[in-house]
Amino acid sequence: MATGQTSAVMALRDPDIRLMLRVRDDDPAAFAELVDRFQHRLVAVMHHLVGSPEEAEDLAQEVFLRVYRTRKKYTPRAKFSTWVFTIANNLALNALRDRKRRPALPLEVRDSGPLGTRPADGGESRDEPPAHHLQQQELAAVIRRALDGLNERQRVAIVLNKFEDMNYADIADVMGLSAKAVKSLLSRARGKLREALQGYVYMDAEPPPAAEDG
Amino acid sequence: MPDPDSADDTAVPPDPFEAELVAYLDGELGEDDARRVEARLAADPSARARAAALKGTFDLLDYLPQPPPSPTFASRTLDRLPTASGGAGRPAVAGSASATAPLPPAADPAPVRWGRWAAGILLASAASAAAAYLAAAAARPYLFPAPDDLPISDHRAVALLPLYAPADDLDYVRELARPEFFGDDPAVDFDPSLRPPHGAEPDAPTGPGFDTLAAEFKALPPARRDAVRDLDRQLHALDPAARDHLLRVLEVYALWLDRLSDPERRAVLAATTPRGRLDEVRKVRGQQWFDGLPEAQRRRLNDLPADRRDQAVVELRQAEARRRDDWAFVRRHAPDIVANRVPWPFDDDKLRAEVEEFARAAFRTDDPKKTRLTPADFERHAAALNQAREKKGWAWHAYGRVVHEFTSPAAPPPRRYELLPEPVGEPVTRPDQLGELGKRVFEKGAGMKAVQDKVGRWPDFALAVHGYAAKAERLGPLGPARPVEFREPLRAFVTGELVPALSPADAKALAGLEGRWPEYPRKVVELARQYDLAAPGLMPPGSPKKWEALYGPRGRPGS
Repeated sequence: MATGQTSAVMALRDPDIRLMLRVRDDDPAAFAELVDRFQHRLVAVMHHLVGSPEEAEDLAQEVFLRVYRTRKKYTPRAKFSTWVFTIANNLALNALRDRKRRPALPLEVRDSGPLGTRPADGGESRDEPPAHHLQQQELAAVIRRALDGLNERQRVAIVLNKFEDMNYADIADVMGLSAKAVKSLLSRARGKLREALQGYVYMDAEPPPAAEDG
Repeated sequence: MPDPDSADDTAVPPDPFEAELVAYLDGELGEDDARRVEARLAADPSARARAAALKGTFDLLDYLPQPPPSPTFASRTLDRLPTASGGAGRPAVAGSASATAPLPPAADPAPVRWGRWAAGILLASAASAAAAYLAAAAARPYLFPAPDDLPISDHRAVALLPLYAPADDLDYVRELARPEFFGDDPAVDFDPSLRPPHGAEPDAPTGPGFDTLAAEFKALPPARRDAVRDLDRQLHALDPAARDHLLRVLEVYALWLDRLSDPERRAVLAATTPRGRLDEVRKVRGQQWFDGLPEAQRRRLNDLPADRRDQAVVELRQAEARRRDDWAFVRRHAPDIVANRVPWPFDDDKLRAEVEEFARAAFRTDDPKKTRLTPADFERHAAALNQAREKKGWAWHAYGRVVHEFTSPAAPPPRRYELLPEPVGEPVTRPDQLGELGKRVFEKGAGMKAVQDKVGRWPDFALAVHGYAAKAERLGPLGPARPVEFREPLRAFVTGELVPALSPADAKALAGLEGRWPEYPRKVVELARQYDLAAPGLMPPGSPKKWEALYGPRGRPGS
């Protein structure tokens, strides 16, 4: 497949596209490089979306495999990362919807007997007044619950916006929405996060820890 | 948590100013719009508070943990590439592949009952969704680095633990593979040469998933761990097709268990013996089958007295199995059927002529008076042959089926015509050939009645006499029972082809039957079939296994 002029220009701008074109042409080292380059970002995004490290890795792996399987059909049109996150978005939404249809059985189920029910997901409701000595871990749990309180699309939009630093146009591309729709989506999501978390904003004077190398 | 506005959360938000504020904070507003927001913020303290809360809460997301991919993530991903058949095509991993994955603490190290841990592993595997197509994945090498203290020899058993956990041993798995359990499941019974129904690559358990399984494995009681290792070893000592078949059975079984209600699953897993477990499985499967019937049929069955109901259930299930066979056959041969190709052995002119000649000689299909076939079968044979000659192509298959059915030991008795070799001289087909002894035996009306409709036909008459006389008196062999008594080319086949091919034990068994009729010729046919040789005149020309594979009812055990 010949690389057209437009895509050649884009490829010059975006090193990831250059890399992907090498993957398409079965350059054996290119895919390994691609995995190496994107694994932190993909696993992190998936982790924020689904909450479980195992599932996040499974999903990220599936994204890479889909990239590989569809490599021959790859034509550089948009930013490469937008393309990858479009695949990630589809997989994550499917996983989240599946989970909603049939709640996943947590591994800890054995703690209460293999067939027993999981102990109620304990802890305070998000309306409870924040305790002043919440450890970072507990704070993370509160934030996680707030994120889980968003619907799937809101969560995807927030995660891409926050952790991939994507602008509205790119989020719209990834999610197959208009930029205006993304604006509404994010506004609702941010409003919900504000409701759920504003009690926790000033509780910790220390600045948030720097995110791990990603 | 369900979101009340999830259906239209991209519509215009209830508070347009908040949307503007968020977009402003995200740097997404044009200059004019940004000025407007800034003017309002300058004038309105509550707007400023809202902006601060929006920003502060969004910043809180930085507190979320962001674990890096596990060190083996990249290598495991590359190992799953479709080209990685054995690792040769696997690209080099940049960076971090050599480290070992940290092992999470085992979930429940306390010793547990069989049922408990098996259920735990099942549930864990269901949660990670790794069960799908594990079976095919088993054939692949697992190249990813090990948790520190897991011997490499245990890797495969650990990767397949979700399949092994609910099974006792290889015998148990073989039982599960019977059609009455899971052998008939489409996921077990598909043609492996076709693409898997998912059309996807098999899933191998991935890093953290694998580590969890390793922890589960280590938490097993030592005897159970050994049993899992044994099962894994025995399965992988089988030939690949048999192994994959049984792995598919295990996969279907594991998914089936996973979908049971808790009390049902508990009943299966808590059984103390494999036999008891199979009984539970059978019970639940039977109930599921019954519950799956259309309501009218269920009502009809429920209205029957218990014994009639059992009989009706057996008949229904047999009819179901036949339909499944028919569909399976069409599925397997779809390409040939569509292309209207002539099936083996009729695609070879010489073999085709031999098969036609075999049928003519064996069943006298050329003469309605002398034929061995019932009138209905005579018609069926003639119609199939005519149609095959006329329509050609796949139409030959129907003819092959007829010939196979007449000769197959697996065919139900009324359809089957036993073929036994004729003697060098005249075969026994009439009462007057039986001599004085025979006359005495058959002078009574009952004896004559038992054999008279077979008069004139070999070996039906001799077999009927043998069956009747065996009750009263022995008449001696009524047909050839040694190689020298056979006609050519059967004699040369037995001495030159069959006997040299036999194992010492089989050769001895055959020699031990010499002189006994019909036991000896029956053993010749049985052994020829077993060694995939066609005994001339007694079996259709060509490999018996090929006949069975192409025209038989798929070798259903027990049919």
